[in-house]
Order: sequence, then C-alpha cells, then structure tokens
Amino acid sequence: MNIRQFFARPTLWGALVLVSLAVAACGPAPLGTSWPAISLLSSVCADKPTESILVTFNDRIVQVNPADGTPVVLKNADCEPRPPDSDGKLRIWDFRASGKQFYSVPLALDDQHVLAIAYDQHMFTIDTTQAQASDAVGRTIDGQTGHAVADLVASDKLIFVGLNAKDLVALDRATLDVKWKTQTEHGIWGKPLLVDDTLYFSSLDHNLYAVDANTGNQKWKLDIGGAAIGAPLFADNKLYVGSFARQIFEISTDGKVLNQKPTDDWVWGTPAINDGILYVADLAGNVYGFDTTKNLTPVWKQKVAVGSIRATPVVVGDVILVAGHDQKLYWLNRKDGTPLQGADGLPLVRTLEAPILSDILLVQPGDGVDITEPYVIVSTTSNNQILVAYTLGTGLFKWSYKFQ
Amino acid sequence: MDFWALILNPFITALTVLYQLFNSSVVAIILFTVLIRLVTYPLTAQQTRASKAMAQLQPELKKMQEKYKNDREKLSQEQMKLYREYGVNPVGGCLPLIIQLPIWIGLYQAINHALAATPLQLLDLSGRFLLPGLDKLVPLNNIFFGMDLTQSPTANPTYALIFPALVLITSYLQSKMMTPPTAPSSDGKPNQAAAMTQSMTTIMPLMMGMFSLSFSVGLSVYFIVSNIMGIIQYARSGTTKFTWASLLPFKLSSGGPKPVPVPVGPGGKSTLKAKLEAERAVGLMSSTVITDDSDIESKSDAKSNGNASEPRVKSPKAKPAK
Repeated sequence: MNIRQFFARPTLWGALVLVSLAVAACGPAPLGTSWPAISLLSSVCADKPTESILVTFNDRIVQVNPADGTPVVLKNADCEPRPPDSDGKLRIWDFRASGKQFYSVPLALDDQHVLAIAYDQHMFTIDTTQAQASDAVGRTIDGQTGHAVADLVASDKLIFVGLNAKDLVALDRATLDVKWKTQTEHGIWGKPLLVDDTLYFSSLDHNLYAVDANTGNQKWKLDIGGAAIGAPLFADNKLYVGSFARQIFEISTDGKVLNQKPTDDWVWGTPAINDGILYVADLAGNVYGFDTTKNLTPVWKQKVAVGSIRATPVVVGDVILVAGHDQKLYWLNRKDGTPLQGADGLPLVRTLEAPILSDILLVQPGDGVDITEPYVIVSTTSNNQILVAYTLGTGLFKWSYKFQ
Repeated sequence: MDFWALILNPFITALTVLYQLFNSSVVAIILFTVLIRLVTYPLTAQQTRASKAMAQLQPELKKMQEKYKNDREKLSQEQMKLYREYGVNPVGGCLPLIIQLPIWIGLYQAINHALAATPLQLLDLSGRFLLPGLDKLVPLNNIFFGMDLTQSPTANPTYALIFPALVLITSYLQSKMMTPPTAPSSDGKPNQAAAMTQSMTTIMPLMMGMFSLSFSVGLSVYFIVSNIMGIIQYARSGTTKFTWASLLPFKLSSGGPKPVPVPVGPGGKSTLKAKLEAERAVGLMSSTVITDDSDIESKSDAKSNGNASEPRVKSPKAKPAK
C-alpha cells in the first residue's frame, strides 16, 4: 500500500487515532500531576492593605478575594478597576505560563512582585499590579538541572530552591544568580525551614539536613530512616519532622534524635503544635496527638479519614481541622481528636468534589479582608472547585471558586 | 480495595522486592517484565494459535463472502458451520487478550507508580506494599547512567534518545514478525484487509517510537524488554519460519507477495482441519506454517507418502478444496 492509499482509508485512520488515544491515556499526563498550592498574599492598594488568596495550579496562578471568592480584578494606581478589555470583560488577575506546570507556592519578593518557579525550574518574576512576568518565557537556574517541586523560602538576601536533582540552591534575591548550592543523594521536595542563619530541609534520601544559610556549608545531617517530604517544624528550640519510615521525630538543633514515635503510615505533611501538643496526620487517615513536654508521649490517636491526610493539620482554639484524599474536611476536638458536632448534632464534616491535598488556609477578619468571622479555605484537585470557603466556627458554606 | 489495587499492589510489591534484591530500578523493571511475559505466555500462545487458525481459514471465508454476498444470514450460518467444522473459535484470540490487558496495564502502572515521578504518584504509592519493610526503599533510585528514569528522553542527556529508537526498532520487529505475509484475493485484486494490517505494521512502531519521546525512560525500558520477549516467544513458538530478511521493510528480491499457504492433502483434499487438529494435539511449539516457496517444494517432496496431516501448499490462485 502506498502513502496515497493509506491516507484514503478512513477506517485505518480511525483505528490509528483510537490506538493513539489508548496509548496516550496510559502515558504521563502533562497536567494534573499535583494539587493546587494556595497562600495568602498581602499587598497595598492606594495605601490600603489588602489580602488575597494566591492559587497556583497546573499552568495558572490566580488571585481570589478571600471575602467572596471572586477573582481579583486588576487595578490602576488609584486602586480603581481597569477598563474592561475589548470583549467587555473585566481584567482579572490571571497569570498563565503555557506549557509549564507549577507545584509550589509563589514567593512574595516585595510589595509589587512575586516569584513563581515552574516544575521545569523556569522562574517568573510577576508584577502583581499587571499579572505579567518581566520575562515571558522565564529563566532557568544557571548551570542547574532538575525540577522544582518544593516551595520557595527566602532570607533578606537569598532565595532557597530545593530541586529534585538532589540540589538545594541559594539564589541572589535581586539577580537570581546562583550564590551557592549543596547536594543531597536524592530529590528535595520539601519546603526548607529557615531559622536564624540555619536552613533545615528534608530530602528523599532519608536525611534531614542543616546547612549554613549564608554559605551552604553543611552543619549536620541525620538519617530519619525514610524519605521525608514535609517541611520540618521548629518549636521550643526543637525540630519535628515525620518520614516515610512511619515515624515522627523530635530532633535537637544540633542534629540529635531526642524522641521518636511510630505512626501507622507515612507522614507527609508538616506537623502542627499547640500548647505543647504535637498534631500529626498520616497517609492512612489517622490523626495523632503527642505531648512534647513528656518525650512525645502519645496523647490520643483517631482514625479520621478513609483516605490519606497529606495536608498539615490546622489548630485553632479547641478545634483541629484536617482534610483528606476522601474529599472531606473534618472538624475535630483538640482534646481527643473526636469529631466536633455541628448544629444538627451530627459530626461536623464537609464533603467536596475532589481530594483535598493542599494545605488549609485560615483567613482571619482584619486589615485587608472584609469578613466578620474566620474562614477556612480548602482547595481540591478539581477545576470546578479550586477553592471553597467555610466559616471556622460552624462550617457554614460561604463561597466556592472554580477556574474559568 | 478497588479492582486495580488487586493487580497493582502485588505488582508494585514484586517490583520493589526485585529492586531490593538487585538495587537497580532498571534491573527490577527488566526482570519483572520478563517474569510477567513468562507467566502470561500460555495466554499469548493461545492467542497466537487462534490468530493463526483464523488466518488459515481466510481463503475459505473470503470465498464464502463472495458466494453469499447478497445473503448475510446465510453467510453467517455458513461461517459458523465452517468454524464448527474446523474447531475454530472466531473470538478465541480475543479472550486471552482481554485477560492479558489488565495485566499489561497493571504492569505499566506499577512501573509508573514505583518510580513516582510526581507528587500524586508518590502519594498514591502509600499503602500499596503488601510486605513490611519496603517503605524504607521509597523512592526507588531512578538514576541510570546519568539518566532520570522518571523523565522523558528529551528531558535527559542526548544519549537517552537511544531508548525511543530501540522502542521503535523492537516494536517494528515484533509486529513484522507477527504479521503473516498475505496473498492477493482470488480475483487477483489486492487484499484490502491484509494491506491494512501490513501498513499498521509500519505505522504502529513509528507511533510507539514517537510516544516514547514523551514517556519516561523507565517505561521505554519496559516497552523494549516486552517487545524483545514477544519476539523471542514468537520465534520459539515455531509459528513461522524466521529469517532476518523477512523483517526488512522492503523485499530483497523482486517478485509478488508471498502467499498465505493453504495446505492440501493427497488428491487435493483440504487438510486444514487435520492440520489444525494436529497442532492442537501436539501444541503450538511444534506447529509450522510454510511461507517460502522452496520450503513448499521440499516439504512436498519429502512427504509424498500421503500423510494427511502433513501439508502441501496450493498455488495462490487455487481455491481451497473442500
């Protein structure tokens, strides 16, 4: 059969298209391989402080108003909405980087700029008044390979980037030039923790590292028995980190294990601490309370979710909030981890459309946010329910936001 | 536990155990793919056997289609009668394929999960190990000769492009090997269905090679090993007489297409049924299809004793005796 005959056969073409689709369906999806990263962004508009939610998912970064879930509209210097575009639509804050994928929370560089790093380590310095990057195609880290999964952290002068090609790189905050780098034996997916001049970070190579933040010189490294992805927590001059070895560790700042306790499954998220009790969630859906004043003595353990709990628990007053892969947001009693009761006498649980894997945001009323009571903001992996807001106290639905 | 977990979890566990034993993701993928191909070999062989039987019936089916082209009901009845007479199940090749499909998808997904290139894949890996102690191996070392097995060849050093090339070559060899040479229709016109099959032999490997440019290198390793195993298994099955020249995309010498043989017995009586029965009796390993003119002659000469189970081959235009 010659090429002309081949093109003349619709059946053959149909078969090829079907096979292509089948094979492509088995392949790695270009998007949707992670979950939204959400954070609060403070800015000033005509001398008035404002707060917005910055959502990073797939190839988009958008700003959303925490009071009502509407997209933030681009404004002029007088803080007035800009004229609509030629189609009569409001110009909303929506940054898109075609062909890129963002896994991490953008870093606020100053009042007017955020730095976003894509999975392929292309960096975009975005002007928050324009929602546009100074360099449309972004720039990579000089002489560096590997992908960026971890959230960025910055000191006054440096920005710290963990890469899955084993390196942690420090960039000059002004020029983004590489100042130093240090290597581990596997990828770095966890957000580094900066305490004074020491940078603590976990690696998939099963170690927790401490390096001098100014020079990158290693101070110590500690084998924690399994891969670690969550950022360490610093409290009372001690570090707390969980690992895939199904353990939660209490570590001194000079790299000694003070205490360690088993969990039922891998610990991914950063623990939370409140009044000396450490709250930990694992990927089997358990939530634990450990007393840090008594050598991490277990206080309680509750099986909460059917699926995994990846996000860090949020502790506010007497309430613990956890969210799971089972698409549910749970309100728990801080004393024993039991479900809190809603006004109807039933457990206070809210079910969403898709898994909740992103960290939970708590938005308090105050400067820049026009709300009268605290809101809990959660994010799902569904484009139809990127953000959902509930009141903290009663779990009352307030709004939801979807990608348009 | 969902259906896929029943397949995925044992596969991921086995893959990780192999990784633990050999401390290499590539070796683990190779051994695991070989293992699965061996385990599913009876199904593959059955599928091959059924396909071959159907191919051998094609001349008679074609004749039937022409004879009853205006009476579809009669055609259907006659076809079923033919299948019954020769003991051939027309969907006999599908069932093994259907059974194998989840296994292949499971194998593919197991490699994807175990290498855990993305946060969601790593998250999904939790709770899948059926043996204790494997958690500590996560994530598997995914670097092989400077290449990241979780990334596509284009995101790796240039020499990683050898993998899509090998996928293309091995896919081509495998599909070429499994596609029987075809004869024109009895009316002398080109056989459309066969021509389509032949063109798929060329197009599919090209597509696989192109897909491999975007798949991770680890999956390319799987494709290559799987294809090589397919080639070895098919060659060892004796279903076709293997020559390297037959794998070339062009013919070395001029001449018409090689015919699909229709074996006949003494006196021009069809021995297809007898042959199929003989094959079933002795198993696929001993079955042979003669595809070369020289073979036809030598077989015919050697077996002139009238043994009905030994095929001779009719000329391409001769109609099968019945």
